[in-house]
Amino acid sequence: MIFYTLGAPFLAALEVIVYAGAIMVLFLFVVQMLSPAGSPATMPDIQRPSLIQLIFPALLSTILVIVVVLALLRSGSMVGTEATNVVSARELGIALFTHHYLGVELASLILLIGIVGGMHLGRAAGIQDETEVKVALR
Amino acid sequence: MPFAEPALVVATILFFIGVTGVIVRRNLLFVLMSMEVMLNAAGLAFVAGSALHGEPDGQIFFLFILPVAAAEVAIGLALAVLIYRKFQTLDLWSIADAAGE
Repeated sequence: MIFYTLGAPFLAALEVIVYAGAIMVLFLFVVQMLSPAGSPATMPDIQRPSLIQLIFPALLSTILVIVVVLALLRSGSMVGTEATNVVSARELGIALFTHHYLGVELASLILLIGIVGGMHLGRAAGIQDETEVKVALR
Repeated sequence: MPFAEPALVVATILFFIGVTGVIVRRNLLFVLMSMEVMLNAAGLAFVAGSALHGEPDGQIFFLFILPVAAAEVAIGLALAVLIYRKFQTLDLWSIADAAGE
């Protein structure tokens, strides 16, 4: 919704599809796979974080938020009264594939790295090197 | 552009919520989720900046952030599964105790 009001309807749809449709689903899969098998009565009692350990990061973040927001609101170069410039999908595609085609290639390279890395890390447990594979296949 | 400045403020607040989450959380999956919140906040700042200047370049950079976030989540979750296989828990404090001897 925020992206829609900022004039980016294509990105709003894309964000919902990618983040809520792919990344959160990945998280749900992993949570389902790794959920501990046992009732809360049998699990060991974990040590809760103390108040000091919670207050200090919260305080630090609050101070940083105040500093950055003050810096934003005090810079006088922001125009605030123009009409919303809606960037259509066609316009975005034209700008993407003419000016920024190198970024498109790099993004596809990053996806390839993600695929190869995920496949390597997710290989079957226990197979260490070639000799073990040959022993397993004999 | 009536929504660009408040959107930048929202992006800042979201980003620092993510930073606090990464520092405070004990479970590895929640740390990864907080990192996703940080990435989303940075992307929102980019789109707000592009709305401010009227150029589509900020939105294009958000389009590049999306595959980076997806690849990072994929590899991060694969590593989380491996850590669970080795330590039988996802609790970062227990893992640091067990592995840092």
